[in-house]
Amino acid sequence: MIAAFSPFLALRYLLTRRINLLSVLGVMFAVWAILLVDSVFAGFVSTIRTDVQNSAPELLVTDLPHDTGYAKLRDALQAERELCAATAPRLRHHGMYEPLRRPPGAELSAISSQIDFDHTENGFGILVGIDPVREANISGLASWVARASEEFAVRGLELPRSRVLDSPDAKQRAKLLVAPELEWHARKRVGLPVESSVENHTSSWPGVLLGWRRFRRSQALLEGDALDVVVASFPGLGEGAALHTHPMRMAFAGWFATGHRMFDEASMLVPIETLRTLLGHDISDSDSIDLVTDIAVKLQPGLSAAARAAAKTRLQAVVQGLLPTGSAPCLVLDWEEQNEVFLSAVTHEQGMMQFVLFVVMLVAAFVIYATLHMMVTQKIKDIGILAALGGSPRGIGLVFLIGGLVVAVVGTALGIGTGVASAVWLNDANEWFFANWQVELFPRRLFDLREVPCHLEPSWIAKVGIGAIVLAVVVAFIPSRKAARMNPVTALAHE
Amino acid sequence: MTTPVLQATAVHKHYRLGKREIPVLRGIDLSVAAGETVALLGASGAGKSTLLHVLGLLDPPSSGEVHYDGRRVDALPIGQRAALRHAQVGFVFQFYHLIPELTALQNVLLARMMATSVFAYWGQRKQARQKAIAMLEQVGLGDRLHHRPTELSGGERQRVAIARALLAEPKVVLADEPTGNLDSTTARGVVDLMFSIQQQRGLAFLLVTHDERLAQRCHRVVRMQDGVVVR
Amino acid sequence: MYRLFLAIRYLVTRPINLLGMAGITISVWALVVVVSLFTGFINVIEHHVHQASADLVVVNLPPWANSRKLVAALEADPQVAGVTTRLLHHGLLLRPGHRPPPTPLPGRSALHGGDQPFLFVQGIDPRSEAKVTGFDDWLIHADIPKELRAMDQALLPRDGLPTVLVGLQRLTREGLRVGDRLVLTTARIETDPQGRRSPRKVQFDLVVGGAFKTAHSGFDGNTVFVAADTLRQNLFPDTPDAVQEVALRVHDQQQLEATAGRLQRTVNRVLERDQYAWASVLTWREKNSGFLESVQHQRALMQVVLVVIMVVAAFLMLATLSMMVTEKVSDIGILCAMGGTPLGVTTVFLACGLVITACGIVAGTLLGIVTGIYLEEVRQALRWTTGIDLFPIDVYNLERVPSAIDPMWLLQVAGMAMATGLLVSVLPAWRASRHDPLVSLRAG
Repeated sequence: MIAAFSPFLALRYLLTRRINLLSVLGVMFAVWAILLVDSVFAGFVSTIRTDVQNSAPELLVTDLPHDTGYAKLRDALQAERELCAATAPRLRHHGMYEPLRRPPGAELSAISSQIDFDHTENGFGILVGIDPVREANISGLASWVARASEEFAVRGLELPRSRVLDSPDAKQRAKLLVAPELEWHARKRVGLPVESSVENHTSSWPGVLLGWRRFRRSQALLEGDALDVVVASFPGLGEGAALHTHPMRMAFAGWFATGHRMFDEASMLVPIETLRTLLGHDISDSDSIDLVTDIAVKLQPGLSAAARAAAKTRLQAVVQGLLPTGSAPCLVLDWEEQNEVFLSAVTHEQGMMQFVLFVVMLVAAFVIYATLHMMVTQKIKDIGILAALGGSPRGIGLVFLIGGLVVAVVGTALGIGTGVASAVWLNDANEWFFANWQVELFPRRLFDLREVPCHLEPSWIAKVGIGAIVLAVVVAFIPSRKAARMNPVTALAHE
Repeated sequence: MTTPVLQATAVHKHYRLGKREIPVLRGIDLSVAAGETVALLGASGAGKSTLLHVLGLLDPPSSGEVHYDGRRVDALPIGQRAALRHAQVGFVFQFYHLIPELTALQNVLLARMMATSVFAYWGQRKQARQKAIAMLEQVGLGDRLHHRPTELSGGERQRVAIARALLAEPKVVLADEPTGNLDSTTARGVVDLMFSIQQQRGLAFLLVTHDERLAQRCHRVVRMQDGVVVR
Repeated sequence: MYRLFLAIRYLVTRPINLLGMAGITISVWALVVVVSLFTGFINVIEHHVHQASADLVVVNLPPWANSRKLVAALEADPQVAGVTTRLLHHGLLLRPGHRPPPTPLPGRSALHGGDQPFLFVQGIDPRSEAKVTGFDDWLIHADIPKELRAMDQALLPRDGLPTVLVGLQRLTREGLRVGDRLVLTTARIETDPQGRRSPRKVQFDLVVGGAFKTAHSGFDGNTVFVAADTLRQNLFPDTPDAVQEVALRVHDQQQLEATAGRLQRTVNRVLERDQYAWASVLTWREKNSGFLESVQHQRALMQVVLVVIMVVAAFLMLATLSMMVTEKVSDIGILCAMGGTPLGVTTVFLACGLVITACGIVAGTLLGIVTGIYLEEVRQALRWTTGIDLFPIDVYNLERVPSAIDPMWLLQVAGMAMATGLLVSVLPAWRASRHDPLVSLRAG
């Protein structure tokens, strides 16, 4: 039972002492700061995670043995109708490209650029062979292409979106062929023989989509420009297998951007048939196979988390069953597993930040303690009076505990209110400050993102709110206990 | 013979001061019957206030027993003693002991809030308020309900304290020099008020005082000296 | 005098003031510890990066650069302690007959790309290289097992084939031994008469000569060394003076920037053509800026967050000091009655605030320094008791949590805390001085 006098007096005491406003403000500020800082951090992490998820298929069957064909596996996977909505082949291979035409002043070749481990500044990369038609069902290929021009626009560059995916002809799209006039002009620029007029020309160079982060090195490229792509491979197996290199002339078909830094830096998207040809499996060759290194899978929508986990196991078994006996186990990875190294590097910083924020809360709790402690000291006589009137020690202690609780609840509520509000208007405020005072509260440069990311997780708000209140009650308990244990006779005699 | 409402048997009380033990009460026997008024006289330091605190269960006796209505109460757990104190005893102090943040009415109402839970109180708050107003009107403060203690005179403050002590309808009122801080005219008014309410309600009344004339108005006078009852 | 005396009296008799002090202590402590962790981390990273780099490099050298002239000009500078030329190339290093697995997925591979099949191939002159970098030490790093050590004469041909030095980690991961044959596949760019450039395959055999290990795992994973002549013969058969990068060691690290500026002018003069901003002289910091800056950004972000603690601590002090003034209202009356001026009263309370702040700063700084020194022990204790790992030292190949206490930062923190303390002391002190002494006396 809570005696009626405890909350009544608690409120009276709070309202008549301005000092308690200070503890409310302290708690409010702490909660506000915690929510804001963490929301920016969580936003940062969540933006990166979203982008990473964007760049990855729902499931990826990978670590397949060398020389695995696609058709058999595709049929087996798609037979799992209740799990598997669509599949697309992927073929990864390392390679390099060199533009045929280089503008003056950029005459340094791809292969003598400077060493920087974090940024791909050279022509090397991972060629990712895709089937653009099938890929449309699996990943946001079209949105990647659209996003590239957005990323450039944010940085003040106007580069139109690549149109290779707009072609009405599925065969053209499958080879990522650029429009004939683009290729015709590109040929002319480098002095290659061309048809007499644009109309008679048909595009023949398969297209390459480059990650937008290669822009710094390849900014002079125009859509349609010729690139020479080289890969090296071992077509056969065993000791005698020789290394083969294969060059191929292709066309720069435009930029793409998934937002996943490592993917955008490392990858170049090419038509899968072209890459197969480069690796010695040309479609016209009767011995060739429809080579893949990975299979991207889209699951049926609406599967529960458990069903997804089960689907992974099931699909792995399906694929493994079709691989030659004795093959190393293949893997079926969801988007997080496909990027586990990158993601773990991104998240580890948040732990330390939350530790610091906890210290903030602790100091805020000290404010509550200090004011309540002072209240008890000032109210010793009242404690005696309450005891004489028949107040139980518990009820007397509750006066102060409730006082602390009210301070915490009000401060937390205000802090959450301002925290949510400032998280919502963070970018506006940031821009306003920048526009008027050239001050950036949250330097966007730090994040390398288009705007300050902000992500308020309701569960985190709840955690901070409850945490603040619990902490406040814990520290309020100490003065409360002191009040409850006070000898009423001494208290009455107190001056 | 009827059971006394309040009875102390062989009550001893000593305080510790450093290593020394200072005896304050040395075997007090005292009983107060319902409707009886008892004056406790004695020089300062005789242990009158301490006895009052022991009887009011604010301070447990070092040895001896305190009985309410024949039931031993001094050894009860602290929470039960607080509840009993609320139900059985009303205190009136020399320095009024009102809570400065509260108005006269709120100070009186506080007595009602002591033993009622928040929700129960919420249900009966109007009724409680009316009763508190009636109580204040009875002590002649019907027009000063919303004044803070600092805005009231000494006599008025003591009347608020009396109203507060009586609101819970205790059987016993323990008054510790209630007029000690008042001029004689005001004091007479307060004393008259107390005695009239006492008679009206048939309260047991234990009054600590220096004032012989005031003591003579009581049914019985108990004199204390050095922690014992002398007569 | 009575002011300081009273101020200290007030503080000593009121333990609640310790709380205000505790607030300052905690915030100073956190500022010192967290920032020194980051500073230490940056120092370690810089040290690792510097270990694997020359002090200065001249990069982006044009095709017509004449190495002999350039080297001679650079050596003439009084600050230059050593000069070496390098050829740089990229390539695939593969083992004949061993089919490598497909390239790892970008998000699943090592963060700095150490497990990608393409490599930076540095063509060096081992003798002059050793004068510029710690090349000789890299070959005899304690972690390299005996059977993987290079011979005394590193990069000398072996069995008639040129040798290659591979980073220890890559060497062990790929199961290579000294004497194994490798094929380096790369391309050189050929320009036809129309100015069209296309890559022409270049392939040559190499023999593993041994392992090397620097403190910078990103460098080790991505770099192999061959003799400069090997690259020159295969890539620039017609230009015996070809050079792509010049690395330098300087005498005085403190003057690195100035030296870089001076050498830039020297290089421009020697190259005689500077219309395309050829050849930049970069310090090792500039060359690895991407990597180093990201850590510095993290530290900057942390500093902002830590200031929040200071603000909350200011609230705490404001609360305790205000309460003290409220409680000491009667004393203020007495002080004034005894002839104290409002200024005097202000000073008493101001002194209180400053003493609290000063003690808080001293305690926080000392505590912070001690925590900084024993950070590794603290981390282990924390991990042992709560399971929280403050800092993933394995990720960065460290033995201890790095921590470096920067005196400048200590001064900044102390200054900031002092300013905060002063600010929050002024308000209650001013309030105290404005008290009507009569009211004060009556209230008592």
